[in-house]
Amino acid sequence: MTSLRAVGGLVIAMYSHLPKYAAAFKTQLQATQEYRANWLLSILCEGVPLLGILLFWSALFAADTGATDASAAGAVYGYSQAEVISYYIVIRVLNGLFPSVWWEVGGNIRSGHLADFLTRPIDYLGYYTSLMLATSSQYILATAGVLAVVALWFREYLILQTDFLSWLLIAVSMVLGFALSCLVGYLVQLLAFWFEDTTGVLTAQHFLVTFASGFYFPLDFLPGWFHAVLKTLPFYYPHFFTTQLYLGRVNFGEALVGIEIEVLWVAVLVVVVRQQWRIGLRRFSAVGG
Amino acid sequence: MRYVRMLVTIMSASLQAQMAFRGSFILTCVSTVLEVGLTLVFFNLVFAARPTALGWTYQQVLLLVGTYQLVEGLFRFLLAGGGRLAQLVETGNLDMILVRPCNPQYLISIGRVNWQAVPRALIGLTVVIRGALAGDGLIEALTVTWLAAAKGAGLYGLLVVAAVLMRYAVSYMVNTAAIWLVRVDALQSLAAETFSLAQYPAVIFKRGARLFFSFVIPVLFVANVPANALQSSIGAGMVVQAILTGSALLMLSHWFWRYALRKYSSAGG
Repeated sequence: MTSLRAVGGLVIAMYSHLPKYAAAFKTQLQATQEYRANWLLSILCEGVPLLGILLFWSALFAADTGATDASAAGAVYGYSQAEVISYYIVIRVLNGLFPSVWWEVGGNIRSGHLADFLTRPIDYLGYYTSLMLATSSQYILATAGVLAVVALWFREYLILQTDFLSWLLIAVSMVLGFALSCLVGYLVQLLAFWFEDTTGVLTAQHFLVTFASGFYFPLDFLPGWFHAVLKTLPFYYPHFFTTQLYLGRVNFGEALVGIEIEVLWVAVLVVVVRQQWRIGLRRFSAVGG
Repeated sequence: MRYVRMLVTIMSASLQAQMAFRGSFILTCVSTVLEVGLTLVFFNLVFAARPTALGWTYQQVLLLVGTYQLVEGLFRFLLAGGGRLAQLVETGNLDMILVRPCNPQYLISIGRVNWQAVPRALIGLTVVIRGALAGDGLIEALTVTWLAAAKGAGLYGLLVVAAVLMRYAVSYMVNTAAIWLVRVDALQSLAAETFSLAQYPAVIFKRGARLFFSFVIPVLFVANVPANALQSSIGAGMVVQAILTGSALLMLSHWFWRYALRKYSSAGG
């Protein structure tokens, strides 16, 4: 009940103060556009490692048992070439869409600039979520071009999901995944209330999130018991689970269970974040702010 | 000698500064170890399913991945100071470096010795040794004569130094662009991501891409050439080409830096 009240409270607070958050959203869009060449190039950067891994897998499948037709090659850990190629494209897109580390929050706490926000009638988590939404929505637009090129290049092996129900589940999972990513990133940033330097924690978090999200390789390549352990973590769902939904590798029942777990994690994290925020604020001295 | 003393002093000061937050330092080192370990797990899983994929064995891929990590680790440890050039330009603090009685490119390059990159280089070296001992190249040489093994290791060392210079020179030229563009973090990422392609066997690239990554951006010289040298499958021409490319890029980076400085107008720092 506490979790539900906390989530409900946050949604109501954001809705009633929507214009403020819309303004934050717009400001973030403008801030990104200040150095738009740099920003566009950063999107392009994501295409390079993606291309590398796709070329590696394509060569691997093509070389398999000397087959000249890559599609004739056998599956690796139950993944066909089309599934592997589609997996990496989808997971990289989700990785760009969902924020993992947002340095500004910790920076504001350490520098004391957080005091500016405390005196304003705005919820800091709501403000932070607005910035994240702005970054992600721009990312969708900007990656469309890069993805179109990559998709065209590997069109022969790209799986296109056409089932309406699957898309519905993917959409729900993406919304929950976005919330989970924001909350995890935010929670780690709040450690700045306690520690002067959180670089190590952030690096560790970034590693854990990228690994447990299946960014490097599909998690079902790993032994079953290890995969089962990763399933208990919140990082598993935004990227890997959503990608599995896209590839149609989970049935409807498993999909519902996965979404329930995502909802549960969001509720738990909202409560934990709120509590950490309250406790942290008691320690906050606004040095230099 | 003065430059060596300067390097030692900066190394010592950087270590003290980074150890001020010991917990954070250790966590970053552990994360680096895990990150490199994960790359090895990936290749291990792939080669467990396809033992001789792309004409490479797992041991040969260890040489490749280990070499890439060694080169990247050495670069980030000693020569990645150019990454702060954009900040120096933006704040005007570059002026403070330009007036010092020392080569500014040297001072900027070694100005941020990153001890957290040492585990990456050490793991890379360990992986290379493991791959070399398990493979046919160096171990075969060892069984013939120690002299042959020493020659093999020496040649490998030379190629690694050339690779570090290439990585450094390209990176420094990208950072130098900050004098015109101010923000170059995306360009830096693009350079780093492009060099990360070095950990894949060259065979994954088609002919055009192979030429591009040999003569335009020398990605294939970073790990593929030194790894091949350890397997005794490299000609003298390739060694000379690698050394010449490293030297030429280093000179080009210096020329570009001096050209950029002529266009530099202080931000008033």
